[in-house]
Formats: sequence, structure tokens, C-alpha cells
Amino acid sequence: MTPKPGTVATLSSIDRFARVCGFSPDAARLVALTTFESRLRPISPESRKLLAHAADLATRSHGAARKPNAAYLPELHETCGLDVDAMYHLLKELEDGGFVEIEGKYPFQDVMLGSDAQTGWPLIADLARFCAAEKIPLRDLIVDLRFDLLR
Amino acid sequence: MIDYNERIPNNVDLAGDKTLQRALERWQPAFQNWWGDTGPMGTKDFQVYLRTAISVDREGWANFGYVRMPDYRWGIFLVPRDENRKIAFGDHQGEAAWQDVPGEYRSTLRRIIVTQGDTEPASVEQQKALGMTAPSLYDMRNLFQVNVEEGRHLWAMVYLLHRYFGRDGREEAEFLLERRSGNADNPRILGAFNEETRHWLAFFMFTFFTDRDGKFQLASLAESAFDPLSRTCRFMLTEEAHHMFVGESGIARTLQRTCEVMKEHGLTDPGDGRQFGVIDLATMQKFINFHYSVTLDLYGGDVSSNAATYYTTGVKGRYEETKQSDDHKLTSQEYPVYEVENGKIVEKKVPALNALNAKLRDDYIEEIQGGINRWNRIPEQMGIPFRFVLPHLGFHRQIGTLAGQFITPEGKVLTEAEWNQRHGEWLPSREDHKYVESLMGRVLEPGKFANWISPPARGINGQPIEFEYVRFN
Repeated sequence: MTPKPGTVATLSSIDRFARVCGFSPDAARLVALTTFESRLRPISPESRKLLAHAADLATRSHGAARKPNAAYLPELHETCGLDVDAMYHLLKELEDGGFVEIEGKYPFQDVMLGSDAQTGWPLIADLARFCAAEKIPLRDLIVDLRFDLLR
Repeated sequence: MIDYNERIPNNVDLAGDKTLQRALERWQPAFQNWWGDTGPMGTKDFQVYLRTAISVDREGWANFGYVRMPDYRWGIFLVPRDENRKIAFGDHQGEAAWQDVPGEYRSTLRRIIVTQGDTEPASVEQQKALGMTAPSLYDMRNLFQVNVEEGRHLWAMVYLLHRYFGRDGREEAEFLLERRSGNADNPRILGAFNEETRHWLAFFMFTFFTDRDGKFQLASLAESAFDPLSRTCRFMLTEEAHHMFVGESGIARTLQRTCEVMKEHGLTDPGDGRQFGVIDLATMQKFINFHYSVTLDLYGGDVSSNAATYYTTGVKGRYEETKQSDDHKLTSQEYPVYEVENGKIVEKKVPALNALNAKLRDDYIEEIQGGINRWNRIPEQMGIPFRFVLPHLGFHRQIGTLAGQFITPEGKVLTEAEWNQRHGEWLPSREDHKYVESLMGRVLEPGKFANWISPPARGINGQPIEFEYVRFN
């Protein structure tokens, strides 16, 4: 059964998220998070899956020097089973929505996780780190929109 | 998840069917012998940084680590069954998908599975010598990754033959290991799979153009009413995606290097660059013409009663069948195909049901054009006016309504004499092959690349480019 999407509504509802990621749960963060949530809802589930996967790759420990908050296209290709055309199609939707930025020129491109436009907060990366720390599948948040899990 | 404790890794509860398990365990040593005989040459002791499927979930299904290739865990992986899946097209539209093979479609399904299965070992055989001339460890690893997964795709088809086709299926599974690419007495079934892949440019072209045909065929079979075939193909598609990435990025890096050299030395003629040890743009265009045209032939005749029967009976659908907005029976629609009449190419409308091969091929062409457009960004970014162009549908065709005609890449119909005089302008000559082969030398130092190809921007699985992707023991 698909879980009913939960929402972020109050400051206290992001306490756990703030604690794990080391920021203070102020009004600006709450606004950023609720804005992010409302922007994410209309994005196709396929693109949300790709975003979750990219965020996971960009933030997991690889034990090697790495550009911060970047998923590399070859590793995306090799781990998610999307071919090149499908990948660019979904990335376009994510880029248009401001969730990622494609950096570099073809064929040497990286997928940078987007930040909150107002505050510069690397929100997607923090969500990924929160999920890793709390052992919550990132897909539950990004794909199934279970923002209630942040509480 | 996949059970790797079994002798044959699987997610189909092989242990619950002892007869099938024993039959496949008997086939397994024959497969390993085939791999030893005709797989990548001289690689028995190499440790290769490979991905292995650990789950059939599309996101996050791969695990990376060093594997000795003969120890690679080839297995049987199907996406989970959807209990409610219905047939989406043809005479059986709306009925429950078949969990077993209906007797009346048995030979048709077997033939389709054998033909698909035959291409998998064939490509491994075609590419067996390429490891000797890899332009880097990074590329060598990508080649071996493609090879082991083509081997796994053979397992996927052999599972279906053993599980659903009885003695006939077991015999066909044996024949799949007996035919050999390019063998005059016992060749592979499809012509394009009997040509040796002589160098890395051909390998990259093959993975871009011909593996993509594989994708479209698998996607059509993923629509099949025969549910186990559909589920097998769905997982194969996830692996195939990376093979096409290897091809697209390989050509892109080759093109990047050529454009860099052209810019550095102020070259403007697309035929120029060989003096600096790179593959000139004109030669790359010829290889595009060749690989594209021979791959179009793999779609079969434009007008095909077999394809119509496959569709009507539910055996094979169209690409993305469920996304099509028509009646999924195609009883009244038409589709354009092309013929030569009085020295001119003319369009003819035929029943869409009979033109399913042409429709699948046209879907393929649309996607290929997307890749060409991406490649063309590279000379554009570097201020070089050259652009790659796909040749006309009728160029260099051996199968279909335009087969045997003499048509230029621009679509002009020539006489045979004119063709014989000019085809070297459009197709790779012996000298072109020889030149490309002359560039091929094995580069074994981690992080180093042959002169004719640019390094990638990023390594595999987040590893640095200078990572030791292949270890030689």
C-alpha cells in the first residue's frame, strides 16, 4: 500500500531533522522545507526516484576525494538502469524544477544537488544525510513524499 | 533480493524446482567452458572491478568489487511478478498475462527467445580480442562489464528455454553455446553478429547503435503476454542501459580528443587529424554510416506478416506499448514505408499491423538522432563547424523495401556503377580500418589513456580515474 504523504507543518515538526543535521529549526528553514515540498509534489515519480538516487550517491561516503554534493553521471548510469536519453529527459525535469544543476559540458557533466534559493541551504543533501543517519530510505521522503518522517 | 548462496544465483526459487535446477547446473559447466574458449582472451586471472546485481530494484541494484571474471556470478534475475498484469494489445488484450506458454504459440515464442538469446554470446565472441588493445584500464573494465552482462543475458534466455520449453528448450540452450560468431559452418543467427569487432571505434559504435537495437527488441518483448519473458526482459533492460552509455561516452570522448587536436593545430578539414594520431571526423562519420545502416537491417522487413502475427497473438508488442493511445489492435491504421519507383524514393501507406518492424525501427531512429545531437555539441562547443548526420534510411540496406538499391546518404538513388565508384566516400574502407587499428595499443598504466581518446571526467562508482580498474595477476 502506498503510504499517505505526510507534510511538514510546524517548527517542532523538523526538530529531529535539525538535531541530526546540526542546524537550528528556525522559521527560514521551515519555509524552505515547505516550499521544497510543494515544488516537489508535481514532479513525476520517475524524476523523484532519480533525484533520490542522485542525492544518495552525492552524499554517501566513497572514501575518495569528491566534489561536494555532486552525483557523477557515469555512476548514475551504472547504478540506476536508465539509459542516456531517459536520464537526460528526467534530469531536464529536475533541472527545470530547480532541484539539480547540470555542471560542465557534454560529455563531462556532473549533477549538482540544488540548494534553497533564498538561504543557500543545501537542503537535499541534508535530507540525504538525515536519512542515512536515521536509516530511513531516502525514497520514502523524496519519492513517497513522507515528510512526516522528519518529525 | 537475489540469493547468492545458491550455485546459480537467482530470484526465481530455483531450489524449489529440483529438476530445473539440475538441468541448469548441467548447462553451467558448458557455459563456463564456452566463456573460457570464446570469452575475453587471456583474462582468466584478471581481477576486474565489476558491478554485480544484488537486487532487481531499478534504483540501487548494483554492488561493486573486484571479481575474477570466470568467477563472476552469472545468474537468473526477473523483476517481481505483478499478479494483476493484463495483456495490453492484440487479440488477447485485457486477458491475464500468461504464466505458461500456450501450446499454439510455443514454436513462435521459442524462436523469438532463441534469436534474442543468440545475440548475447555472439557479441562476447565478436569482442573477445578487444581487451588486448584497450585504450585504458577504465575502458578495459567497461568492456569486461559489458561482456559479463551479455553472458548473464544468455543465462536469462536459457532459463526461459529450460523452464518453459522442455527437451526442445534444453537442446536450443546447447545450440546457443555451439554456434560461433563468424563461423562459416555454424554461424550466429543474425548477420550483424557474425562480424568481428576489430577495434575500439567499432566497439563503441556497436554498443551505441547495435546494443540500442537490443534495447528496442527487449522493450518490445517486455510487453509480451508471456509474463516470464516480459519480466526477464525488464531486468535485462536495466543492464543494457549502461552498455549504451559506454558506447555514447566512448564516441563522445573520441570526438572530444579529435576536436581538441583540431583546435590545437588549427585544422578545419574534417578529413584532417591522422598526422596527430587521432580519428578524423570524416572517418568517424563513415563508421556512423556503416553501423547505423547495418543495425537498421536488424529490424527485419519493413512489411512483415510475421511481425503482425506476433502482435496479434500477443507475443511481442510495440516499443512502450502501454503509452500508445490507439486501440492496441491496429486493425484500421496505416503506416508509411518507402520504396524506389522509377529511380525515386516514394512513400507508400501500408496497414500499420504489417509495418510494426518499420515502426520499431523509426522509434529507434528518433532516439539515435538524440545521441547524434548530443555528440554534435562537442564540435559546436569548440567552434568547429562539422556536424555528424545520419544517412538516409535507404543507405546501404540489405533488408527491407529499400534493400539492394544504391542510395546515397542524402537519399539520392544511384546506378550500381555510380555506387561502386563512390561508396568509399561514405563507408569505411580497408585503409580506414587499418588506420584505426594502427592506433590501437594497450594502455595498462592506471590513469593513462591512448592518444586518440580523451579521459572521462569521472571514474566508476566514485573511484578516481587513476584507480586500478583491472588488476593483472
